[in-house]
Amino acid sequence: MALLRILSLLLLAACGDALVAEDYRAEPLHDFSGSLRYYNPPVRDLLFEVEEITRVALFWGAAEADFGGLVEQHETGRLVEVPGLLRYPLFDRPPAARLQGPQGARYALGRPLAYADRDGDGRYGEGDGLIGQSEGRAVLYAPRALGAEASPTGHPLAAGFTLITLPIPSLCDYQAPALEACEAKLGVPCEADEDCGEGLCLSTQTLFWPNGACGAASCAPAGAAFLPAIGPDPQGYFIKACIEDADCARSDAGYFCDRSTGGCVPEGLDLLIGEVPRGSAFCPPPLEDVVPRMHFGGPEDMGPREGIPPEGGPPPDAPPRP
Amino acid sequence: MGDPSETPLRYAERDARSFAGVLRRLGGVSPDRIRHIMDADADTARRALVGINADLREAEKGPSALVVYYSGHADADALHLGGTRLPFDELRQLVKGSPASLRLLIVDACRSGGISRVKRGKAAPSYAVSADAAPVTEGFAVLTSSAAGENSQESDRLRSSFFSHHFINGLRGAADRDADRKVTLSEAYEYAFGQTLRSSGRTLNRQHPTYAFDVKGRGGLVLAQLQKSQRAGTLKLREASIYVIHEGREGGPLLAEVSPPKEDAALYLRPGPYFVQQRLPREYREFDVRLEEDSTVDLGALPFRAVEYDRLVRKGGAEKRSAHGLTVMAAARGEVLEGEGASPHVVLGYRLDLPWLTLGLRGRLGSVETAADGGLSTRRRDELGVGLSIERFVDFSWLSLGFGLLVEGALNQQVFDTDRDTPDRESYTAAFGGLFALERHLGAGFGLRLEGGPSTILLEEAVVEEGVQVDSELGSAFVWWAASGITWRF
Repeated sequence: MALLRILSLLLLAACGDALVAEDYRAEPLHDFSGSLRYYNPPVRDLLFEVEEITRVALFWGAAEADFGGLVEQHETGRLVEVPGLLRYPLFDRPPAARLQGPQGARYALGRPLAYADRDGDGRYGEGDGLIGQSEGRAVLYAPRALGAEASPTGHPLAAGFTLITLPIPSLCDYQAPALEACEAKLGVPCEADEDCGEGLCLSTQTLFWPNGACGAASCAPAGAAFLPAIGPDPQGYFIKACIEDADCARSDAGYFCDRSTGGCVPEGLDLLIGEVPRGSAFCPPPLEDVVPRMHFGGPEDMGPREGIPPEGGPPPDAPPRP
Repeated sequence: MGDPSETPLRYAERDARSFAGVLRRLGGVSPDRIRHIMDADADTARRALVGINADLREAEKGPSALVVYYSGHADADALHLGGTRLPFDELRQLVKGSPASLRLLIVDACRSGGISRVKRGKAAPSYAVSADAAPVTEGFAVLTSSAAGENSQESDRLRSSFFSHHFINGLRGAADRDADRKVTLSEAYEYAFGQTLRSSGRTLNRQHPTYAFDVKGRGGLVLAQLQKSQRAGTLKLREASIYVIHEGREGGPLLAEVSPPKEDAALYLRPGPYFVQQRLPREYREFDVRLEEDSTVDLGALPFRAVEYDRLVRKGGAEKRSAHGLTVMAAARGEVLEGEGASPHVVLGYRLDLPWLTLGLRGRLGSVETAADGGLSTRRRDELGVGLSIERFVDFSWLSLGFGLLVEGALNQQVFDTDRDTPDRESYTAAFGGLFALERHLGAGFGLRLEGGPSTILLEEAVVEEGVQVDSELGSAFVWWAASGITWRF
């Protein structure tokens, strides 16, 4: 009995803050999560490198920059496994040199990119090659909170890191098409278009919408936000508008208020690996053909790839969106 | 034997025989001039004294001496002899009225100061009785073991009464203050007074021997002559400290506890083996001595075994029942958190040596700095620990081995040198484990100590994913530690 008392006292003595070992980095400024998946089809000669030395890092640049003009913030780099889950905490703010915009409304615009670190130095440099990019997402950093007028997206921004969708309508000059008004239940879960009134059930359009989300494409519900699509037809989708994340909260899945479009979009930062990013980094042009880009949904002539279901939809091992 | 209700004294007869032996060997008294009266009543003692006085009257004229020594029960007025009383006044008159030119009465009994008329036992400074103040050849002198209102005590350890033990050893040479190889009455009294007061001071009843001298003549009254012709061996004591002498070997009968008043004192003892223990402030020195007849052994020239106080405590049988010690050590401990490596520490400790175990209280201060990856410049963990130990020592001739247990609690603080958001962390940990130690005494109370052992540390550890703490859990680390340093005992 005396021994138990002594042990109890010893256990009580082990209290307070938890001590950290060498694997601890810091308290994260922001913590992104998502997945790493292959393009369908991935570029074959990149496969070996993808499996061995893939690093993901934040690359910062001007709104009009293309991928070649982005600069890596090497402290954000880390080795990743493809396919797999992505947990991406950020511990460092972007360098002051990456900030742009007028004084008092400074911001930095970045994209998580994947590259093959061929020289193994932990940095993107000569000889290394870009092999992937964030899927339809970018990272915005603001040293201080910005109101809608000062924000580069036209929507209020909190201080710190914010995940936004691409393209950014205000920066990339995307306009919502003038369509007839209609009644649609925007943002609610759905399984079929019939669940959304005059709208449609978004599932894999542009983004992956967990448990579906009602939107519209052929008509413009009043007060909706506009999410540009990557393809030319439709030009985009009307989605539920929001001001803050609470406006998008759903009990069945994670949605947040996108500061790029001002609408409710699914959470998550996914990276597609297997193709060299080219062109504009933040304002991707509309594509002639939509299907080959996406790892889910595709033409019948595309054979199944490992982990890619033949009928479309997300890979069977894809993690649920947080 | 005193009154039937009084506890029989254990050493009265032995004291009397010891005193007679000293008078015989060192006082020049022939055996036929010594009369032992044991367990007598008052009438027997009275008749004996009367008879001795009658013999003295019939003897040839010339200097003579009567020495009466009593060890037994008494009260403020009389000796207690087998249920009878011999009043002090009568005893005093029987001795003082003797035809001997010099009469000496020594009474070792409670409240015996009534004979010398010294009633109050006040603590007195070391009494200097000058034997040269007046020439002594005749007269009457009384020595008592205590003042009129005081008890006289026996000591089981000394196997004697305090007063008689010191008086007799004083005659053996411990009282020879002027080193003239003669012990006078005043020297013997002065020595016995000081030692009896010291010995009785450890009990609740302090004892102040008294004296009354009514003597005149030439020269001091010599009670013992310390000459080589007396079939004794001489033990020279170089330093003025306390010596405890056992007959034979260690653990043998205690013969004497003496404290010579100055250096280079000498004791005259029967030839034979003795175990002598010299008690110094920091250690005891133990000597094995063999005295031969008419030979001198200088203790200062003999090899000895130094026994530090902590060993004395563990050995037992000494006056010291505990010893204190301070320790300062440099220590190193194995890796507690992954990536830290071994860490250095400083340990300060206090210890209490008891007969069966040693208790310790220690404080530990340590710090370990780690150069980290991933953007953190350095990470440092400072530690302040408080521990309790319990050890059992086994003493060998030149080494002591200890083994035991150590429990500890520590306050940890982790700080980070980085621009990232990394708040300092403060945490308490607990540890327990084994303790093994080696000690070697260096002398003067100092010793060298090596220690070490295994330790299990309980701590709250962060669960980290992708560099971020996501949870915490109670974990443990098993480490080995070692320390070395200096101990100082007092």
